[in-house]
Amino acid sequence: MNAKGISSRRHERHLITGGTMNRRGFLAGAGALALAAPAATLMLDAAETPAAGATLQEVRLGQLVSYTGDLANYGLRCKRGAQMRIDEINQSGGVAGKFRLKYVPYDDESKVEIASAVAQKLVGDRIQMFLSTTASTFDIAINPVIKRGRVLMLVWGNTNPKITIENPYAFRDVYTALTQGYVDAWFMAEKLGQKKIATITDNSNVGNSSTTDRVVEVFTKKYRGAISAKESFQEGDKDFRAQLTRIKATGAECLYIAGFSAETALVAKQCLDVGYKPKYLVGNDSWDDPNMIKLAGKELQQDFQSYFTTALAADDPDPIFQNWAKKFKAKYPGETPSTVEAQGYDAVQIGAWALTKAGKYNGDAMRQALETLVNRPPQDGIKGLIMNPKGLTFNSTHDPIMAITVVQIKNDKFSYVAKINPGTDGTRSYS
Amino acid sequence: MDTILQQLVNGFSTGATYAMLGVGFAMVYGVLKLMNFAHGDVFMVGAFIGYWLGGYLLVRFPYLPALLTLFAAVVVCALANYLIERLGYRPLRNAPRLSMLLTALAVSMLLENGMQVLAGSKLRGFPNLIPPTVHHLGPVYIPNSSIAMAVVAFGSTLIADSLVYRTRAGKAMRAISFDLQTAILMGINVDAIISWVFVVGGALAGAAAIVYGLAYPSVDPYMGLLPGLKGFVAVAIGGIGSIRGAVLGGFLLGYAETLAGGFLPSALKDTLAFALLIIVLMFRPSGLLNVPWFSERV
Repeated sequence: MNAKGISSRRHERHLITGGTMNRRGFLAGAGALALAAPAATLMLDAAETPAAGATLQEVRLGQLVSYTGDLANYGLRCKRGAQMRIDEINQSGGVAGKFRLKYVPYDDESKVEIASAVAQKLVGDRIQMFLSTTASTFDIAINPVIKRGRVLMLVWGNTNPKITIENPYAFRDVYTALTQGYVDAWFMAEKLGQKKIATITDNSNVGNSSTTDRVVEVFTKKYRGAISAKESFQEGDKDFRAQLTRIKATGAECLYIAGFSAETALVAKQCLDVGYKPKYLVGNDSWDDPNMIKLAGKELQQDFQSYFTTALAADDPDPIFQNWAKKFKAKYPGETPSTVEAQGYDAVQIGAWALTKAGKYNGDAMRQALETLVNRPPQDGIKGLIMNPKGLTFNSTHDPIMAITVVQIKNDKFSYVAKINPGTDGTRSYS
Repeated sequence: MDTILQQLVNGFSTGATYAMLGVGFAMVYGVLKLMNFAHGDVFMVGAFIGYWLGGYLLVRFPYLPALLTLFAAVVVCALANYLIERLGYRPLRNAPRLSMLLTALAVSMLLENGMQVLAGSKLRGFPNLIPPTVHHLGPVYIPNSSIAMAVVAFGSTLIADSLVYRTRAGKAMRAISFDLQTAILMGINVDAIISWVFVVGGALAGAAAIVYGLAYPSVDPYMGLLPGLKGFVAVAIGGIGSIRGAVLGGFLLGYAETLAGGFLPSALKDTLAFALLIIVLMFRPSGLLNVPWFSERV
């Protein structure tokens, strides 16, 4: 028997079973570790919600949004805006002097399947109003559950028109894809003077795809322009060179990218990899994420001129916004607020108004309260909002008529270019 | 014609990534008959090392940040893979194969969620470790990252191939793949050899992660899921357990994806890639290079 050979039965058993480590012990340890990680994050979240007040009735304001995953940055920014308004309300005596708001988070992990499951949980927990998700696809997925549960849904950023059409409990504090697509097409046709554009769209998200469809409709039918290429990708894709090579062959000088920051940044970088140098990159409010500048700042600012539409620019000259932004920066040092934070803030304000008017914490009652604002002039509407400071009312599909801001990515910031309110032209059909 | 040439260049980076990940899968499958789901996540760990160390080195020691980061990622991923095998798979060697598979899944989720807790889920940009110049050669544009990918991919798969077919340790790996019990009886130190397989597999994943980060500079805790899955698909197409098959399968899959994206509606890109897998498996259930990897010829 040689030195490497089996010299004892124990050694043989060792070779076959792989060691004397206690398997049960190890698995228990690994299991505990795996459980501890998400539990730790839950504890961090719970510690942030305020303690219950003494005389006010505590009502829960839910938020079903992405705190983790690809869309986490949007979810967390909205949360900060919402939390700011909730704290302001609670510190000044609560809603109508009767209710204290408690923030209850539900994480959908940027995954649609989880959003649907978590919506069931939210309804089961008897939450009567909540701020909805980070992407239109998620909102559409949870609509049936919310409708059945009769919960007031405050849509703060998603633009697909179907969300409010399908669900009478949904009220939006922001424009729809119809208006945004109109303004994007107007900007490219009239301000940038383009007669031919190419588009590349995140088809896995109906907010983005409906905006591109609207851009195509308005650009071709109203402005008689041409769409030289209509490419698509899925959220999570990393390689866009195949699509960009095709777009390059059409020679379009302006590329419309409807996608979130992760993908748009890579698209911008990969344009250069395939030798495609359009003059302009234009996008929708899915671009509104400061992370974009960290990911592709050099390309977006030096290699192209990049514009996108959103509700507010970080340097919007309106004094109401500036004051609010100052308060926000004091509360969250190091964060620069813009559209997403304001959308969260405004959504809470709308919810608080509904609760005041209804007088009770009930989804149906609050919905009826908001319905009294349909088709009323804005000055009769909800005040104290950042995106619509003159007052907010809804049209018949529960969406507001409001202005859209065009921003340019310049000096590592989202810089104000212009603000347009297309009025009813924005939602008109042009086929 | 220009477009076709450009698409051929485009497909190379994708194909090379799947090839490198596939080789790691193939080696582990060869010795343990285990689908190592955690491989894609070790790849992700390598990308994060590249992000952290690369970002640091780029600012403080701007000479050779790419090589140092590559070396660091290779070492860390090799060590991580070794630890995973030692702690997770070795104790289960005599257990039903399902247990090891479940452990692999659990390690995968542990790495993903662990990294999410450690680093947060915000997307980060991979640092420019090599100058991001794009070379214009006639009608095609070749970014520097594709060249880096080519060098690392060829180098690492060549090393893996020579290791398995031209060294004694490689012979031992092939023997274990053929019959574990007989290999033990023949006096092969099975523990050590299997550990080496994981070390090499981890090293490959680490190298793949750095060049992947250079080509697709976006890093997040779940980035390893889909490339890992496609690496496995590459192995299935090329021939389970064969290194050269994994490389072939990887490039086939990468090019199928890119050319599908280039000449058909881009929504069909992924669909067509997986359809290719189904078609190949229908006609050659063990993959294209239908030869067990312990044979001398392939």
